[in-house]
Amino acid sequence: MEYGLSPEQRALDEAVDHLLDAHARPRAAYDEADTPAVDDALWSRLCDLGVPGLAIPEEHDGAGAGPVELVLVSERLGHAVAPVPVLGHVVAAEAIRLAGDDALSKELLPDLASGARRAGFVPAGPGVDPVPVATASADQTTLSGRVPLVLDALGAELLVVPTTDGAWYLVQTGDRVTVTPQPSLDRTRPAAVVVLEDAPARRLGGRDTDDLIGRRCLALLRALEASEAVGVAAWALDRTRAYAVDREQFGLPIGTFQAVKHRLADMLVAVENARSASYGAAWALAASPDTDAAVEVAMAQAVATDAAVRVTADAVQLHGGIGVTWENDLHLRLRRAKTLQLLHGSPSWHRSRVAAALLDN
Amino acid sequence: MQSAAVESLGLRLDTADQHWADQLNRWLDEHWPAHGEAIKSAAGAERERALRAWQHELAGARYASIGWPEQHGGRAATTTQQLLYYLALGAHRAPPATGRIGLNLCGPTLISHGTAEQQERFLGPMLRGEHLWCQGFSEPGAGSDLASLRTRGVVDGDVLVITGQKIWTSGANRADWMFALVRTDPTAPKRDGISFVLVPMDADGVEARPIKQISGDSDFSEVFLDEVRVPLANVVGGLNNGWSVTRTTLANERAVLFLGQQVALTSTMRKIVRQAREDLPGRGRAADDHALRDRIAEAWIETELVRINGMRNLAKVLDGQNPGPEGSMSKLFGQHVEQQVHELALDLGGGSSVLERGAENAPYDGKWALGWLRTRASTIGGGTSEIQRNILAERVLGMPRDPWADA
Repeated sequence: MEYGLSPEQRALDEAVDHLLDAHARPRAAYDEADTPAVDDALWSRLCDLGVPGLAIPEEHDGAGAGPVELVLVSERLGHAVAPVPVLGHVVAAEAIRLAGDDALSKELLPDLASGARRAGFVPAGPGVDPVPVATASADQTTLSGRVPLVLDALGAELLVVPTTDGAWYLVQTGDRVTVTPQPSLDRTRPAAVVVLEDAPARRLGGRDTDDLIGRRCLALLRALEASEAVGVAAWALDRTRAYAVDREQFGLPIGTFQAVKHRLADMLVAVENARSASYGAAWALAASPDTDAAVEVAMAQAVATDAAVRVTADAVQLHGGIGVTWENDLHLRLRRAKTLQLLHGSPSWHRSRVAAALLDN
Repeated sequence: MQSAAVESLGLRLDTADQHWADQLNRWLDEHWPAHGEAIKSAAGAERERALRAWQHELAGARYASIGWPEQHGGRAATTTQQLLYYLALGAHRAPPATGRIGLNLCGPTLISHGTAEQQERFLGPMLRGEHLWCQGFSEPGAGSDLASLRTRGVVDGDVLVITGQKIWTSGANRADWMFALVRTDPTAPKRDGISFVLVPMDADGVEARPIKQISGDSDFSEVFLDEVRVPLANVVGGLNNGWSVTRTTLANERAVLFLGQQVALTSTMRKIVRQAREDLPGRGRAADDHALRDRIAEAWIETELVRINGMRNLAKVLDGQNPGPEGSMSKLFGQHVEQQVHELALDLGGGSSVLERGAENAPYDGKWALGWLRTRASTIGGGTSEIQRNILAERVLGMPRDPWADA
């Protein structure tokens, strides 16, 4: 039923959890020089599990699942702060599906499903800031412009890019596309600037699909980011719970003291509320293949990213001095949480969307 | 009508459940309207009689307490059936049995721990609304720390002589019986010397005095017990076993209780949204105030979270899993939301909100002001938010117990 997980969904969740627990190495990006932006070994393990193709239709060699399964996986990716560009990839695949071009789907989706080729997605629309600026050549075969900030683009072979007049293009990366990594808060999902100079491009869909691609893909991306935030918060709570039982002061585990206990209880409420909001968005997006579930997604972002920032900050606080050291893994989640909170619309911006749906019209 | 409501919850019914719901709906179609008229048109003692008569009707069809086992007049209802039951009552705007405190809190204890004689004597009248019950647990000196209660019960032959004071007793002024916790062994560690006793409210030495709350309502009473003589046969589960005996509730029922709160919150939110869109002379629309817009969105989101938390919990229970942390969380978060929503409702009305019922131009005839006062109790009654946080931290997150709490 709604918000309940099927045995298959629980099995997927567990499988991804085990895999990431054993193989995700988020510290490398912080501790080792010249760490590649994408952990290719981890990516290929996720490919073996079918993650890149989860939501791609079966006729194109995907698993034919949908937003609910993606949300479950994404929560695990956030939990592990896994350095793999799954979100951008699955949203790019969704854009290609929505373009409704059979030939293009046949050509690309099987490779995207297997993960043999990697794709990235450049979002645009209300709440996305800074804004990508790109224009197409008159014959619609090349794209020029600049994307000032995008995640999951490094190492992608294909990029789904919007033009300033709202059309969608598929860009082949290569000589005419420069993707330059930028130092940013979260090193496990590194940011990049993309510069396009007459880059070879193909029109994705047409005028009749532009709006849908923009809204649905941005909504899916936001829902997945919200579920990452849930995973980030859940990890921080779990780690802090364990610490509060181990760490002793005044001869007692610090979790004995109500100042600590009550903050932990509030963290638990925040995590579960965030998960509920994220599930709300997942089920709403799954209800129809062309909805953008605007209110549910806004709610998921507002609730989950705020929860992630608060819970990771509380986790740092409850760890005391050790919480602000580089060697403790908490700051990896703190950084991811803040990134997710700000990236595609702040919580107050998302609440303004909910308010508009309730109060205007 | 209900099958649409059920589907909106994402639940698919099998034919047996569908049949169960159809039967219930047909029964309600036939039996509720007359009672509905009687209840609506009555007031005071007459209304009380009408509510009891409705419970009697429900009991006759084994619909008064469907979670009870069949041999005691229930239906051993599954969680799905509980859900269908509340949806069906809601759709007919019919209240559940008025003797809920007895049916939900005392009945299950009697069913699990009572003797055959006790069950025979008490369950029938409780089910039919002939006996309404109240719960005598809290005391002036024993609130959050309930186990420190001091009301004494002294054995005198085959009688227990009870002296002490209970407080915050809901419905004491209308109850026929009280199930009370009484200290029967003052020398034992505090949880070990307590008994669960059934006390007739009309016994000599029992006096209930209503407490007037900040809202002006009197939902609770103080109950004074002065050498009240109760047969030892009224002790449930044996002398000094009261603490463990009280911990009986029906899990099936708990998973659907959020529905009631959700319905109330959603309806309040709808009124808030409607009010915010009104263009008031001199004030304009609350919907144009940025700070209020943010709070309205926040309150709406939190109301929706209460629903999804409840649904996730329900989905787990229906699936045969243990309820997760969502169950224990729902009280802490739900009571917070109730308060927030009423605070917002009052703030929307601005200066007019200070007007109470009967004043000219009081928003919603003072209902907001009343609700605001009433919901101050939301985070206190049934376990304060602070106690709920302790419970969550200790039982769900595995934190050590408060060092002073053990006995």
